[in-house]
Amino acid sequence: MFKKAAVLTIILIASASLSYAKGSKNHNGSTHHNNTQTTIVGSFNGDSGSSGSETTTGGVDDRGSSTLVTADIQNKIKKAGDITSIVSKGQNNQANAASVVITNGSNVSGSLMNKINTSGDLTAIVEEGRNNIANAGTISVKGAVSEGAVVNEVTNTGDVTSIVSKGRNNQANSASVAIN
Amino acid sequence: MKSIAFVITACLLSCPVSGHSSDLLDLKAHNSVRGGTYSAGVEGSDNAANAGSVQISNSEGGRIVNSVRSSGIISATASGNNNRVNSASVVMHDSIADSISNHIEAAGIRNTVRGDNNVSNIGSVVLDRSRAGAIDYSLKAGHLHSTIQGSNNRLNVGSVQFSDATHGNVSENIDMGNVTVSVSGNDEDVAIDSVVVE
Repeated sequence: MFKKAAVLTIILIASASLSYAKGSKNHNGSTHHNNTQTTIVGSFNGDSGSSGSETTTGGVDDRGSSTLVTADIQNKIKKAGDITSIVSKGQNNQANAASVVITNGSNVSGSLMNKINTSGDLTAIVEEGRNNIANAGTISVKGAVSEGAVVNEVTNTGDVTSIVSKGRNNQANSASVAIN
Repeated sequence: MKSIAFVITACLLSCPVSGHSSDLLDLKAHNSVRGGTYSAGVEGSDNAANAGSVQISNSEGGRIVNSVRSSGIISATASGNNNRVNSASVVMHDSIADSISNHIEAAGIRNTVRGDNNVSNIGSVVLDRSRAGAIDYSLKAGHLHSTIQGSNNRLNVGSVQFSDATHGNVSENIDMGNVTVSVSGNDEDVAIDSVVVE
């Protein structure tokens, strides 16, 4: 299944609206709606995992240092094939598949919505390393959410799998909401 | 005097950096899952694995809803030490919620933990140093299977567990098929279809 994963890197940063994804991406006739209406105030660090690597497939990944994120973030995926995200070795790794991820203590005052409706499999894997996170069909927040709603809906999917193999300080989330 | 002022200033400057916590104010967290098989697995130490779960730390929120309807197996596995494994559960640490709703339907749930100082929750609501209003909880599952090997481990199956927590009314509805628990090691704590207050 993993061999199907085509490699496509997308980095899109705008001052008023932001959509950030990096790594491998696998589209099999899918319709993806990553609608991110985000206002960033403060510093934004798109390469915070400098010693590691991260992949975001069919998802939204906002990260920043002391970053204020207002407005709503929506990630909608319909009729996708398999969505797979893999990171091998390194530190500070992330593998996200069909997920909304807020990291580095950001302050979010909008709503976070992740709606996945697909018959395919969702898979996120981190192999070895430290401080790793693997998210599949998940909303993961490390920071403050001051208002709004966090809504994670995963329907009609195949298998949803998140795996961290070896390493330390790891977290694997599948079809979950994790706020730390 | 200069040295004292310097020390005080250094402490004040270091305070915002030392803390790392989340705050949910008037926030509704909703996890709705419908479909096939869900699994999360970790190997190593200081790991956390969540499958079909809501896990919140250091936060203050409104209504927490976890709704899972799976036609397959929900599973979470961990190998190593200091692991936390949650399947179809709501787990809160150092947090506050107005209410908690956890409704689970699955063909089966399976957790496996190997190591020391581990916590494994299956279809449970766990409040650790937390406060919540009403807790509405139901679990309907076919076969539940859990394995723990190691020491100082804790297993919760279909249970509501409070540790240094305050809460409102608790409504629990359990409909489980066969439950299989395999535990080996020392200082184990197992709760099945229970309400535990510590």
